[in-house]
Amino acid sequence: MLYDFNIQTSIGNNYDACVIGTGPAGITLARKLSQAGQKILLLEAGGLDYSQQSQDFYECEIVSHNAWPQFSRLRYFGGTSNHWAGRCRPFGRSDFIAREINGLPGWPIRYSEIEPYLDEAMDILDLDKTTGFQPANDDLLKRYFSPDAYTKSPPTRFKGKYLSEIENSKNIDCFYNATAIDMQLDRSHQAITHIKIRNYNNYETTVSAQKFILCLGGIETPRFMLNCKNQIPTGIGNSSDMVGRCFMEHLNVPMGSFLYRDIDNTAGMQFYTNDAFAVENTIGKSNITFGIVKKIKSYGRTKEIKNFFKNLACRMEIEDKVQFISEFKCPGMGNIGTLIEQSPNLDSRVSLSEDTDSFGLQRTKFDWQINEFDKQTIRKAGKAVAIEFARAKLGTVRLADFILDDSQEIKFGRHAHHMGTTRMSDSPQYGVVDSNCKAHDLDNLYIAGSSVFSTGGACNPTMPIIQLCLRLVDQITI
Amino acid sequence: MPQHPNRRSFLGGLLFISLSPLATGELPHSKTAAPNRQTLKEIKPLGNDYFSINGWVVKKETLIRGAS
Repeated sequence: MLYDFNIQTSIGNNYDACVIGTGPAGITLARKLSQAGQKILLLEAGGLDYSQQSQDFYECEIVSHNAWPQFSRLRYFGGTSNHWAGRCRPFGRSDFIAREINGLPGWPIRYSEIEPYLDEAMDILDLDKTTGFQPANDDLLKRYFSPDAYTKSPPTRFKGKYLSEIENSKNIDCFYNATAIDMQLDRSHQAITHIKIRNYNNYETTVSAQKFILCLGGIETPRFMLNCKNQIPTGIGNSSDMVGRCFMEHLNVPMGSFLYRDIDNTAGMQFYTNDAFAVENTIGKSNITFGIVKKIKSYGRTKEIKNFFKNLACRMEIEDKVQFISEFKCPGMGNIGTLIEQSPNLDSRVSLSEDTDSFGLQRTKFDWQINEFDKQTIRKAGKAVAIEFARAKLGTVRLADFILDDSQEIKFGRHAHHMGTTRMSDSPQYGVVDSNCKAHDLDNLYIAGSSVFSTGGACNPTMPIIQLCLRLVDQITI
Repeated sequence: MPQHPNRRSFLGGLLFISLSPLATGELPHSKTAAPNRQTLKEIKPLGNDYFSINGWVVKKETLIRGAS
């Protein structure tokens, strides 16, 4: 059943699980747990559609590199799946081989733990199982890189696909416009007894359940836990000061440009670093795309003006001279795009700002940092792909200055993949949840979503999120 | 009463009109001009067999014999 908490404020209390958040993780958990016979309370802080009032709760204080956390997420039913692009690539076995990076352990589980859920995750995301994950192109670079193998979801909008199922489900009570603002612990501080929720008319109530599952994404999950400090000043689940630490993105590095040897070639190509290359060089993984720019793209309210001047610079062949104003490539040029693994790093973190939202909760203080390990990943992958491109006689790569010159600051952007802030570890010293996605500090608090990723690989996170959710359903219900 | 354009808006309009065809015209399909407009600034070795010249990564033989 579906209720607007601004209107319907009476909520039952006999729930097996309270799932907080209606993105891909929350909806998958609610559906699967209800199908297993469990009575579910599903909460969404936003409404059924986008509203600025709701989105304003995502305003953050940015203190270093900007991953645009205000805009890359969506705060309404279906969550960020409402603007997801749909690219899916499964994690590999090597992503789960435990190796220590920056003094932190890797995944405490093996790939075989999530592999059985791949087929069902593909169904949920409307992926074509008959074609599967096909190589994007021929094996042209051979030595250190393989052709990337991925597939694309339509993309699945979880609101469009699953709203009516949830509305008609007898086992799910879904309340939207219901923001979770606090968690209350029992006397021993071992379990959550209630959570406090508020609507946009400032009405508050508490709800209880046997289990609570946070599905709020890699930024909002730690923010919520840190804001729950009435009983524990450092926040709930944070006894080791790990909540919010190890924020990881996939690094979008403008690595350079290229020219095909065959001037009429317009084909794009995608490559993925081989495991041996990453291990031998002690670096992370990389997904590198070669593509010919078809037209100039600008964003924002002044995009027409930006497009005009960029096109003008291309036409006058002075684009090299104006890159200090704005970086772009002209139509016909080869562009190298990247999705590069960032390592877990304690200094890259989400914490609480002094600023508060309209409910009085402290906003996110967002401090995204890369370290020396990540810089090595970027530079070694960049040089290797340029050499292999030349060796394969495909053409010539021109690398960005910061790839070749270690003294220059590396430029990088985001992919809107927020990971690692409640990472999975066998030891509470290095993580927030255990290998079952249960908070180390509590008996009945679980976390689902990319915040539990111990490492992020160079794969788009939505499909592994679904696989981990399906695994969590089995752990909770069996 | 109609407003007369001032000198700034008149010159701005003139600049816009004169540059528009350049900016909106069809661009060449494949752009190759960038490397030969530059002077040789920096050569860096990349391993034993490759060099970067102003960022362009080429094989050592290309430096000696020229591109084929």
